[in-house]
Parts: sequence; C-alpha cells; structure tokens
Amino acid sequence: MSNEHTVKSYEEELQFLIDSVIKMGSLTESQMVDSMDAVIKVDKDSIDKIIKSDEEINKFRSKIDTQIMTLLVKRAPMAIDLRETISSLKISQDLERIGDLSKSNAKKVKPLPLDLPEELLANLKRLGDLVIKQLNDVLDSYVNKNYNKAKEVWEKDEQVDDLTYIAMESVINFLSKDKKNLDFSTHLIFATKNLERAGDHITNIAETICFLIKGEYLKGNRPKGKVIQE
Amino acid sequence: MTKEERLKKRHNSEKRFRFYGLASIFVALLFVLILVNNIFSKGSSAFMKTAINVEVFFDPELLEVKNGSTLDEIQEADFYDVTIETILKSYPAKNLDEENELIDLFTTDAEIEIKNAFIKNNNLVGKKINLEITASDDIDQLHKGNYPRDLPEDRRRISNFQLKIYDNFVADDKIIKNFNNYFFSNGDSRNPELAGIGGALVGSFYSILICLLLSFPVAVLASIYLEEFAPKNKITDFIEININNLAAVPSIVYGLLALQILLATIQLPRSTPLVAGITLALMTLPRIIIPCRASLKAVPPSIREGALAVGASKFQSVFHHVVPLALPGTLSGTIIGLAQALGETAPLILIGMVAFVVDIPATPIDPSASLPVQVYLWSESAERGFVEKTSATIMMLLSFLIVMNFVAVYLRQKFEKRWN
Amino acid sequence: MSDIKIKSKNLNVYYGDKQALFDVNLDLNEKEVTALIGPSGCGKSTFIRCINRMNDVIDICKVEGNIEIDGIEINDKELDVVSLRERVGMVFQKPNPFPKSIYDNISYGPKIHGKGETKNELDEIVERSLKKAALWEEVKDRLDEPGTGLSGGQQQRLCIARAISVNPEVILMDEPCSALDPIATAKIEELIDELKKTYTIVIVTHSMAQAVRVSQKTGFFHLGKLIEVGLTEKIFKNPDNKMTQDYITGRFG
Repeated sequence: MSNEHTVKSYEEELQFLIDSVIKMGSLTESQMVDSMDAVIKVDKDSIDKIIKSDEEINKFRSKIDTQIMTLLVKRAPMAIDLRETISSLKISQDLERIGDLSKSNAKKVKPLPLDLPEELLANLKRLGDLVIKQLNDVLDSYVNKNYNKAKEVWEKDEQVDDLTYIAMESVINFLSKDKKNLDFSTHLIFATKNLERAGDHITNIAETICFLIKGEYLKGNRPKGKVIQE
Repeated sequence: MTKEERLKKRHNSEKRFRFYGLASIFVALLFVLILVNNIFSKGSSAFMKTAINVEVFFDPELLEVKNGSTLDEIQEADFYDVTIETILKSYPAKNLDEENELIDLFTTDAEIEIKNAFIKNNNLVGKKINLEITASDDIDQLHKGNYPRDLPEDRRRISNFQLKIYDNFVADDKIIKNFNNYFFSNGDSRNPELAGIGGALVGSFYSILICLLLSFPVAVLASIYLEEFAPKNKITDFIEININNLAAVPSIVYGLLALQILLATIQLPRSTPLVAGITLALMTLPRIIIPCRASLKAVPPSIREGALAVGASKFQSVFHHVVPLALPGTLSGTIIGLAQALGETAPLILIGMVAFVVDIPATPIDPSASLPVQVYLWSESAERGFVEKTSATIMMLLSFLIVMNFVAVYLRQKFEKRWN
Repeated sequence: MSDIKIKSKNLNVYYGDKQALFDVNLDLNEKEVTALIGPSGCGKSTFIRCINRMNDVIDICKVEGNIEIDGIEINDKELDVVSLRERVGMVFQKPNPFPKSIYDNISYGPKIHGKGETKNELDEIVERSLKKAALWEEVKDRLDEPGTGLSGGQQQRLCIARAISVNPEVILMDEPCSALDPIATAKIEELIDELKKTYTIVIVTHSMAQAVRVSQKTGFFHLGKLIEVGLTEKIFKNPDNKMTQDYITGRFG
C-alpha cells in the first residue's frame, strides 16, 4: 500500500494546490516584513513596491480558487483530501486579507512625520515582530503539518492582544500630548488595529490547520488578552 | 513480403474460403435436387390409378337383394355374377381363355367396387350405370408406360389379346386415370393396384404416439432431476457419460433388446405398435435428454437466483422459471428425436413388423406395419407395380419428416420470442 | 437511536479451502441504510448473501458463526429458508426480471407465499409495489408486456418492486446501480431515500460518492475482514483507520 494516489495527476493537482498556498504565504510574509519596516523607518519610498507585491498575492488567490474548483469537480475528494482542499481555500482567503492589511499599513506611512517618539515606535515594532513571527510559525506548521506548533500560534493570540493594548496606549498618549498630532495619530491607530486584525487572521489559519490535521475543531474559545474598547 | 502483399494474401484466402463454402452448398443442393427428382419421378405416378369405364347392369335375376335391403344383407350378398356379366359384356371374348384374359384386366376387387356402388345408391336393382372399375396391376403399369410393348408375347405379362382389348378401350376413351384413394385407405396387398399405406400409416402413428407418451415425460423429468437436483458427484458424472453413449448406440441393438425382453420374456404381442412404441421410446430417451439438459444448462443462474431471492423453493424456481425457458430447446430436440424414430427400420424389423399385414390396425395391440418397414417390404418385391409405391411411400415419409422439422423450428422461434 | 435489526457475530465463510470472511461482527440498524464498501473480492457480497442464506445455493460454501435478525438465529439448519427470504429481499447487480409479463413479475412472490388469493388482491399488491418503486406511472398501461422489454433502469426498479411485493423487512442490494446510467442511478438513489422509511436496507457499492449520498452507516471491508464501521459522515470526512482513508481517497496500491 503506497501513500500516493493511484491516479498520478490527482496527486500532482493536490500538491500543486498546497505549493501555491505555501508560495502565497511566503509572499504575504515578506510583504508584511517590508510593510512593518516601512512603518518603523517611516520609509516613504518603499510604498509603491509594497502595493505592487499585493497584486501578486491577489493573483495567487484567484489561481488557488480555480484549482480548488477543478479538484472538487474532478476528484470528489474524501477525508484528508477534502480537508486539504477546503483548508487551502480558507487559508488563502486569510492570507489575502493579511496582504490587504499590510498594504493598508504601508499606505499609512505617507503622512507620517520623521520624528515619532522612540517608545511609540518600539511598541509598534514589538507588536509587528510578534505578528510576523506568528505568521512565520503558522506557515511553518502548515508546511510541516505540525499540530502543536499551530496550536501554540492559536494560543499566542492572547499575547498579540496584550501587545496591541500597549501599542495602542502609546499612540493615544502621543495623540493627547499635542493637538497637531491628531492627523497622523489616527493613521497610527488604524495601523495598530490592522496589526491586531492580521493577528486574528493568522489565528484563523492556525485553527484551519488544526482542523486539517486532526479532523476536528479546536475546543473552547480562543484566548483573549486585554482589549481596547472599540 | 510487404504490408500490401500480406493484406492481399489475407483477402484472397478469405475469398477462396467463401467460394469453397458456396460451392459446397451448391453441390449439396444439387445432390438434394437429384435425389428429390429421382424419388418424385418414380413415385408421383402412384397417386393415380388406372380405371376402366364399364356399364354395369344390376340384373335382378342375378341379385339376391332388392331395393331397400339393409346394409348387412347387401354386404352378405353375392355380386359375383353381376361382376362377371359386366366384365364379359365390355368386350367380345370368343373362348374361355379369352374370357379369363378379359377378366384378368380388371382388379380382383371388382366385385367389391360394384357392391360399394350399389350401397351408395340403394335402388339400383334393374338399373344400368356406368362405373369406373379399377384396372388390374398389369393394365395400370401398361397405361403408365412402365411395360415395354415391343417384346415377344411370351416375355410379356400382357398377352396380345389383352393388348388388343386395351388399345380398343383407349380408343373408346374407356381408360381413365383417377386419384388413387386405395393408396391411403388400404393396407398391404398382394395386388399392387390395391396395395396402400393405410396400415403402415396407422401403425406408425400409434408407434410414434406411444413413443412420445413414454419418452417425453420420462426424459424431461430425468433431465430436470439430473441437472437441477442431483448432487454433482462421480455417480452422476457416470450417468451423464452413459446417457451420451446411449444416444450413439445403433438402433438395431434396441431391436434385439426388445426381442429378448418385451417379446420373449414379457411376451407382448409381436408386430404391434405397442412394442414398437416402447422400443422407439427407449431409443429416443437419450435423444431428448441431451438437448433438454443443454437447454436447462443454458438458463442463466440469474433467473434461478431471482426466483430464490423472492422466496421460491428450489422446486418452484425450477418448475416455474427454469423449465419454461428450457422448453423451446427441449421441444425442438423432442421433435427431431421423434422424426428420427419415425424413420427407424432395423429395430422394427426385429420385433416382427415385416409380417404381411393387410388389415388396418384398430388398436395399438393389433399387428401392423410401419412406414419405413413398408418401404423395405415393397422394395424387395418383384412386381413392377410396387416400385412406384415404394417411392411414393418414401415421399410421404420425407414430407412428414420435413413438416415435423418445420414445426420444431416454428415452436422454438415462437417460444424464444415470448421469453426474450 | 435506531434498534439493531441484524447482528452478525464471529461470522466466518469458506469457499472450499479458501476463507472469504474472517470473524465479521457487524450490526445493522433498523430502517436505516448501511453501505458496505471495499475493493473487489473483499467479501461484501458474500456477507450480504449470508443474510438471506443465498450462499446455500453454492455447494462449496460453508458458513460458520451467528447472524441474528430480530434476535432469531438464521444460520440454524432447521430454519425455513423460504420464509426467511420472504422477510429479506434482494436486488442484484444486473437487473434480472423474470421473462414474464410485468404483472406476473410482481405477483409471483405474493402468490407463492399465499399473500394474494383473489385477482383483486393481486392487482392491489402489484399497483402498490409498482407505486412504491416509482414505476407505476410508466408501466400502468402495459402490465401485460414482458418485463424484459423495459430499459435497464426500469428493469431494476421492477426488480425492486418485485422484492417489495412480498412485504419484506430488509432489502439487500448488491451494487444495484452499477449497470445503470446516471439518470437511472439517481432515480434509484431517490427511491432508496424513500424506502428507508419503511425497510432496513443494506447496499453494497463501489461508488464512494453513492455510499455517502444514500447511507447513514458505512462498513469498510478488506480481504474478508471488516476494517472499520461507523457513521457515514465520519468515515468519509475523518476515518479512524488509515487503510480506510487510503481506500476512500484512492491511495490503494
């Protein structure tokens, strides 16, 4: 009994789908790194590059959609193959949203001043680094089908919430210090929120991967840290 | 050899094969035609008989009966004198020899024919009628052109005087041919003009009937048992081999069997359709069992399973479903077996059907002949008149066989259409 | 939770020296459809043929173990097989209507079981069975025509009607759609959906998709052993046994 599909093309199609998701994840990850860099360094030159890379990510999304429909109609996948197919659909959706959020953050760099307080930037960086690490970990767990790693990512969302809270406080402090900070402070607030939402999407991906591997959903609510009232 | 050459060679060998096939069919048909022509040309004349038109006077002085006498009285009465008078009046004969020769021109049953004419029309006393009396066998053959006329008198069966009378009658239109009803209504006879297959027909009919009644149920039930119910082991294999062999046993062996067991031991009456029927039944049994078993085997197991699944017992599934489907094959096998039995001669000769039987058998235990045996008997006879009768009987036999085979084909097609 | 209608315990079946089923323990629930899947020659057909003792027809087949229907042991030599088959009907892979008229096909079963004495009773049974098999409208005007003159899908529905005519409790189906086109197959699957309200159905199928569509419970057989049995949804979304998963995803070598 081999572990490959009897029909070779089925095996290839499924593998192609998984590879597409991995590639899309890579792109999303590097886009997020670039976007975070741009925000921290207030680098206005890299904005266009980041916007362009988002187009690449969207192209992947439609390629994956097409591939999924073909697989469903041709192969009527069962059990693990079914979960693999549905998971790649959900993961690609989440990745696309993360890409959009990174793009949105990059756009927000334009109006920012070059003399933002150190502490504020540091807090933002810590949050951004965590989210990037989460994304990296979750993509790893997808490639290696590592259940425990995915579960850890899911549990670490609590930390993301905490760091968001801290970063948000810095921004609000900065905002309240000087009225003229209002304009770009609001941008910063949105940027912080975007990072939190990216974290949520990453947690979604983690949940999907757990379901993919075990065939059942994670029990219980996802851990929540401190939350700023919205 | 190139590809084209190989292809051409294959096409050519196929064309040759087709040609051989058609040629063989053609040759076979040719032989059939020759055979049929031979039999027909010899036998068709047997269906007509020659008669001489004479005036019969029912002289009341020569007759004991009156108008209105009962049938029994007429049958008992003597019409001999009237007959002789009629014959002698038909042509002038000068002396006793000539008179005898004149009388010989007519059938020996002339008296019976005149009596029958009288019975038909019961108030003929004192009246004259014209009657066509059957001619003797010699005149019959002469008129049919089978006797050469240019031989010296002592080498002829007909004397010069008789020839003169004959020519005279022909000139006067007194010689006619009418349908030979004697051929069908009479039994065997020493006189060819009176001989018929009536006895043999009835004998064959009874024999085949008894054969059918005995062999068909036994054969079919045996086949069903062997095919559907018997366990498959060495014993049943042995039985199957033996049945197949029995079908190939020469029929004369069955005759010997019948001679020893039916006639010598059980002492059934010889020469009867009963014994013939039993003998033929023994012979036909394996010939019915083999196609019946083949038909049963041919019924697909899905039919049996379908019946069993609905809750039929094994018996019900066999008799309600399998047997009806096997019926076409069984029937055609039976009819072919019967047709073969109809034509059997050797065993019937051994059980004594070579006896000279004149009367038509009334029951199956009366002695009789059968059609093929009759052919055998007549073919041995010296008289010319029996030649055409032999061929005519063969024609009858062949027609029965052809009809039976057509019935087999028809029944098979009819049943197959219904079930499929 | 349905009651258990058929229970097999330590069922072993031999064809001569060759063993076809090994210690099969399987419960089938009442008024439910149970699908049996597995590669060719794995014993699924052998198993269902044990339930109506059709294996008795094969001389070299030996059945050991227990099968109970409603608590009554059916592998008993004393059991009347004919009345068993009245309670357990069967539909075969290739439609096999009797070479008789449509009417006679349906009325045969009730007649031999004494379920219809008068013509009116038989007429009623025939109409009822054909209606239940969703065939009545198509053949009501030609009941005298031979059953073999119908199309493949109609013939199979005729066989289903025939099985229903004796009012069974269980219907066994051995790959009933494998010889039919997709539309005929869909009609039969629709029929099975309806029939399960009244009868317990066991269906052997080679089509995974069909098993998912029609059954509530599925059993996976391989080389004569029952590898896994459970709710159909579970088997096809997330089976416990790797062999089951390999089979249903097409990873068998």
